Amino acid sequence: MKKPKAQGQRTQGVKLMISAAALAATLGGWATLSSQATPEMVAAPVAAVVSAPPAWLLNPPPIPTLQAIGTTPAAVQVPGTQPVVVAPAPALREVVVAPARPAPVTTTQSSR
Amino acid sequence: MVQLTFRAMGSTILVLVESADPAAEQALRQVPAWFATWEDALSRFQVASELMQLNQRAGRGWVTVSPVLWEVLDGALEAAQATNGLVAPTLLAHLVEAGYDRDFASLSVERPSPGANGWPQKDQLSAQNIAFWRLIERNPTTRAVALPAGMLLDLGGFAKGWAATQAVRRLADYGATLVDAGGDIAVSGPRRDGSPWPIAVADPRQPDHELALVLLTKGGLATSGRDYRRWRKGADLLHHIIDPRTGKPATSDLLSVTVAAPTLEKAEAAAKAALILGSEAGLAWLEAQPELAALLVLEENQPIQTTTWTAVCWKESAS
Repeated sequence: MKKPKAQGQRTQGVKLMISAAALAATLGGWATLSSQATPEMVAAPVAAVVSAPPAWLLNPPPIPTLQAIGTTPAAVQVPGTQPVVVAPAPALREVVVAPARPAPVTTTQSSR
Repeated sequence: MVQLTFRAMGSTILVLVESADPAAEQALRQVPAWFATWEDALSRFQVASELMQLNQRAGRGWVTVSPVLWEVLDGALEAAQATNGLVAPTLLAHLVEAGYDRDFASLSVERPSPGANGWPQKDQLSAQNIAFWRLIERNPTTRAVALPAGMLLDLGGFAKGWAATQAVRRLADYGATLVDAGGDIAVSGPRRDGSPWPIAVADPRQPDHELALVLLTKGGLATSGRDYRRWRKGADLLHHIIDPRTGKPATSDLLSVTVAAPTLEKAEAAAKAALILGSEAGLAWLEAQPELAALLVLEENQPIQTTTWTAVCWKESAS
């Protein structure tokens, strides 16, 4: 008659062999899948073409300021254009129009 | 706007209605008949008027009166209450004694009548005129009035103001209305465009000159003065505003008083009372009633006014 202890040791060894085989299969499968992946798209570096900024951007003309009433307007010149004379706004004066006195419709006086 | 002018109650009556409705013009034509009916009831110059018939029954018990006479007498007694008796409807005998015993147009300014037959003699006149009106008995259930013996009623300017107010009420349905009864003016409210009625205040010292321009949106405007209805009696220059405290034409430094008030009846009573009181007491009495605005014209010196007066007047803009 065979001894039970020896039979248990053989069973555990078989289990270990199965687990190892499964692990190896998994890892192998992962390696196979990795080798089949689409290569990542990476944009090739492109050299940016930047033209020189216009001169007016580098040296912007002065912003026309509001002219004080009665002064001579300044000519505002944009590079490459003819100077434009901005006429001054007409002087504004507050004018109060008094309502006209209404004509009486009748008169009160001691009894007539 | 439609307009009508006619004579009634011893005065020129002007009626203005702001309306283009033909019905307004038709209603306007009825106004003289209204005034004639009221005058038949209220005039002391018509012997057969209801008022004079009541006077003839003084001291003889109850007399049933018409709704018109009842309502006017009620208003006149309210005015007496409000003015502490200064404006009372019980002064006819004094008016006659002073010489004002007929329509002013018929009165000879230089030689007044000595008094019509049937009027009480001077010694019969009560000396308690300031409270005499309190002796009038009234029964509202029967609309009956009992006058004590010797009392004679005169509703005078009060009746005219009442008539103007009644005409305004009847015409207001047609449009914005103004009625001017001999210089005492009632309005239904603002004009059709919402603006006030501009009314000139005549200067009693210079009739062609205006003292002010009143802008009236409600109520009434009245002027009481001793500059027109006056006459000579011997060396005395008398007028129609009797001071009940003396029974004689009021001696006052005021030539005229103009008052704007919530109603024309109140304006009339206040103007007369202030004139009787004189400039100092009259101004104080008026100032104590903030619903009134008044201009007081002295015989000499500049006019004076209540603090409320400028609010009802046109203001010339500063240049």
